[in-house]
Amino acid sequence: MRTPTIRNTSGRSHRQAVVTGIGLATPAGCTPDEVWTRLCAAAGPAAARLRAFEPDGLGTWFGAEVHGPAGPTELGAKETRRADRSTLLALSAAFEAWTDAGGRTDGPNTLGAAPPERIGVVTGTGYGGAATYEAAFANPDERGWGRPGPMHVPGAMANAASAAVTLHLPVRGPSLCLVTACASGAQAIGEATRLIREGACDVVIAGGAEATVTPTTVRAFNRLDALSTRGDPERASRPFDTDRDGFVLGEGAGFVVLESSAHARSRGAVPYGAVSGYGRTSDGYHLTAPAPDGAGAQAAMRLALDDAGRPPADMTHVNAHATSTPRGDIVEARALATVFGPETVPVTAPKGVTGHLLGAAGAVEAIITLLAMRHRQVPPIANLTNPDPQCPIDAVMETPRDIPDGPALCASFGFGGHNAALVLSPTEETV
Amino acid sequence: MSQPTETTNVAEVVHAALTSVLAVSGADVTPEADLRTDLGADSLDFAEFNMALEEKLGVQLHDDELHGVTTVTDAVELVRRELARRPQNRTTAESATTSAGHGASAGNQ
Repeated sequence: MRTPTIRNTSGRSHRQAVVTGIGLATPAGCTPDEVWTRLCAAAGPAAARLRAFEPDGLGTWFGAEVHGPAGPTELGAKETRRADRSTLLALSAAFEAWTDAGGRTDGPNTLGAAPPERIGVVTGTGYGGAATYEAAFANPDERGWGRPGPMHVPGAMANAASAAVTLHLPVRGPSLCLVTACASGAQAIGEATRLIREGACDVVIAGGAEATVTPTTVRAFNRLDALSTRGDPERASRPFDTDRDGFVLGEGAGFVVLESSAHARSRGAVPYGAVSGYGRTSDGYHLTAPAPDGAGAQAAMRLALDDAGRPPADMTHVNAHATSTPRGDIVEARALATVFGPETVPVTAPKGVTGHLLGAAGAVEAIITLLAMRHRQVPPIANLTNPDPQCPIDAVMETPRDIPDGPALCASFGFGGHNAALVLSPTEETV
Repeated sequence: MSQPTETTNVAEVVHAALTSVLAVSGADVTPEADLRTDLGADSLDFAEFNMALEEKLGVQLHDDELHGVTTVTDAVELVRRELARRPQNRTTAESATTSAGHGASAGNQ
């Protein structure tokens, strides 16, 4: 399909990628309305004592789990039994996004005029099938080696969700999987945007999924001193608060349907907004610690702004990565202050409610950013009662803040020094 | 692992394994049901079925014989034949498992 090019203010032109469908499976809810309501209330963080297994002795006993069936109802009993939980969560959110965009999931179908080979999928995950991997070691042999079944490899592989989407939706174009820890979900949407822009695809299903609330992985994050040890789960995740002490491990998925603006227009789809900017950099500093100067984070945000052709002052708000770790939040806040100016742009951080969804976080929060733009309100940061004076930002507290119509930036950073930023814009500005 | 001594036990184990692996109703796993066309079995299901038999009965079916099975009755009869050859089967299976661990890995490089 021929698509008109869009020229941004920096003089470069590209096909525009717009979001026409969204789907969520999170501890804070599995519909956009549910998640939005909970975020705005900021009083009901989704963390609780773990239900999936008995957590005593793991060092951490609470987390943010998705409740209800993990997989979509359209999936058969055998497919549901075979798939890892991360794949089931991915399919739930991807099916929701596909249906929301106007696609069907109950038979051969497509979306508009796009032939299947021009429909792609990009999934992000930090771990892949953690539960499947751990299950092989539930009954080890006398040498301590695991006893995997035939579904171990196809269940645990990081690209399982990407493959599953192609099996259940009419995707016959590129199917990719990105593994950049907690930046995976944002990068999946960013790289999917590039597939639209370069003309390889008319439609791309993109997002992230993670299901690491498993005994060994909970213990592993605890050993890394990454998790909050606060005894009160609902108050444990507190981005930018002086009393924060680590993140709350969560699980979930978020997916969007991206289309070229011309393709969306040709079938009369009304987009949520456009992915107008994408930047990604690497710290090259440490396996887990953020670079103290935040240079990589700043560069990713600047690249995204430049890609969108918008100055920092145009952003109506920022959705911060802010996981509630002592060091990470400070580095990010300082990076934001450097790029946007101290206490300039309203900043929110959904992890106070959702917990940290690792490889799904960036995709879920890109959707939350789109919802904020649509509602023209920024949800407050849950549990932020005593702002850390070392974080020079305009944090949205207590109640939602009204914002004007306009673009917003969503940041994601991952273990390994992966930095990603997306600029999301109202569609009427870009199409 | 259990030690079935009656032929009915084999049929029960096969029935239970197929019901579980294929995630179908036990009522659908009739003696004449075709594993592929009626019950939707694919290559991964056959591999999982074989592992279930290994856990429950201590038999490991040869892939080519297993894939030659059409109906539920065929599967039951194949398992019975393997059990009848049991001492030989177990020795062969155990040595094959030990040596195949390295052979299979090398073959995938």
